[in-house]
Amino acid sequence: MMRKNELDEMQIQKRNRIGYQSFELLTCLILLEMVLNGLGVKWLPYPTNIFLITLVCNSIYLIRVVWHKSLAGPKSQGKSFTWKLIFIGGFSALLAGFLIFLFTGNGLKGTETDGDNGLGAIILFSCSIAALIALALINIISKRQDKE
Amino acid sequence: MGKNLRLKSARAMRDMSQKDLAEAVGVTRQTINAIENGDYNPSINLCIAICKVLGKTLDQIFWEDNDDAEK
Repeated sequence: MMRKNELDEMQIQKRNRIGYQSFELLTCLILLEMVLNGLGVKWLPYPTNIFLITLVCNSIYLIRVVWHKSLAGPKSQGKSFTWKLIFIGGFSALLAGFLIFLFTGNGLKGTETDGDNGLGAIILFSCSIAALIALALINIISKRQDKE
Repeated sequence: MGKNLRLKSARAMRDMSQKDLAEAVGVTRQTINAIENGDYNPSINLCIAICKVLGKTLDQIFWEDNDDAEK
């Protein structure tokens, strides 16, 4: 008997393929960053550069998983998407606020490693907003496709 | 892999939509659509579940003759 609360076999297959491709992309981008760093090209301070690369790959993974309808299983697909958006948005804002508080003169002030005061938090917040917009657009497109 | 028209006709004979069949076997509508269009090869467990719902045998729904495979 198939369990309805989980992904079905085609969704699992797609998600695994997307995950593998995203992991390969992550490896290639980090390698490229290392090469560029070795050649003297420093586009962002460490660890923000690695964080941003990981965030980009993660966003690509999430967007592709949602695009291929492999995020939620058959049973949970009817649930409201708005609450998920509100939850993710709220969580991102809280996390970004906490990071800004931590790195801009309150928690870890004066450490030598935080040369990017608040930059990580701003990147996180802006990427979260971009991901939310993308998810909302994909949701609208999916609903239209379902009606057809 | 060609289109599975026998699945489509068996489903239509039972007056079921793709969504009805998908809910009955516990998969998404997209999976049933992909099987009918020949874009996805279902596992034997899913094939059996579909056959049970439609009241057919595996041969009647999923066996491909040479003529079918060429389509």
